[in-house]
Amino acid sequence: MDKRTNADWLAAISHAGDDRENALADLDDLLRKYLPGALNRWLASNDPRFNALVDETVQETLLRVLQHYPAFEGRSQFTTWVFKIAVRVALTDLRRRRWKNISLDEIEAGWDEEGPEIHVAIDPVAQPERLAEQNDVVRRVEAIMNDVLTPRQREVLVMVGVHGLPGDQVAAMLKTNRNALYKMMHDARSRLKQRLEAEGLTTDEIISAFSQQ
Amino acid sequence: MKWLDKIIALFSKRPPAMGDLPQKGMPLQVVASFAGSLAGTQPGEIACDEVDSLMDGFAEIMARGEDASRIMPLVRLHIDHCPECREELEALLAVIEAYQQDDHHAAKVG
Repeated sequence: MDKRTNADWLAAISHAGDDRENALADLDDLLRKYLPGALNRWLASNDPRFNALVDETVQETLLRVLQHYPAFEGRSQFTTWVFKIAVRVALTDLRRRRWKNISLDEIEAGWDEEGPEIHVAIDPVAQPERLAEQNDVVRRVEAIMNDVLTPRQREVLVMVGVHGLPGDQVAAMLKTNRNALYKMMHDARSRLKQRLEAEGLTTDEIISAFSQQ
Repeated sequence: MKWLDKIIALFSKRPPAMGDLPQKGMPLQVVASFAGSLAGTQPGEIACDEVDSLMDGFAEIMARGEDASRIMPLVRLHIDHCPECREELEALLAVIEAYQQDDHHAAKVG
């Protein structure tokens, strides 16, 4: 187990030479020892792609460490900061691989210039007695979503909600980034919240109507 | 970390995959989940990049068993709304907990 302090790590990494090489080799070992156990939920360790994922993640992480170590602010252990980079690299890669064959054209097929309309699918078999009451609230919410949200916000909601795409994949398809996408959807939530409150629909009422019992 | 398990269980029910097309509309539970997230929507939320810069500190606080939600409420709020950051936090916690466990073990043995 490595006993370097944050200052030790930074001193070793900030200058080319044996100390840097030794530090990177130690980080390589730590990543290969502790990262695989955390990735099992997303890709089984006996999957033929697993070892390649770990290799690529370790390489990319070490590159990013070399690029970004001056930005390390010491808010955590240096190793935790490195693990954080590795986790983001690995999970972003896994999400991208899962959806790489899906094109934006395929998803947008049938949409007009105003973007998609939100349509909520109700399964009548799942809630026979409450269907009429639910239908009323669901259609009101659906109409409000179509009225309040911008075409781009509806587009994102359909990509995430109907097609199940992860946020970073949606961001890549729309040529934006995850950060901007979050801000866009925060704006969508804020607009909807205001409008639903103005229309006298409480969140509890909606959740109750939408819950399948 | 029971609360984290609950959140993961809630969001692990992914909507239908592309193979299920043609689309029949947005599943009720997806809209319910989105509507549920409106209650927690606040004006000053921080986005993914800022959360990423704080994630390592947040995870360490959690790993120490301290109340990270009280200490860093804006990170907590973002995590509640962002499935990708939530996944990354979960994986990071798994890594550092395994690392710290070995560290404590080594300290005892050493």
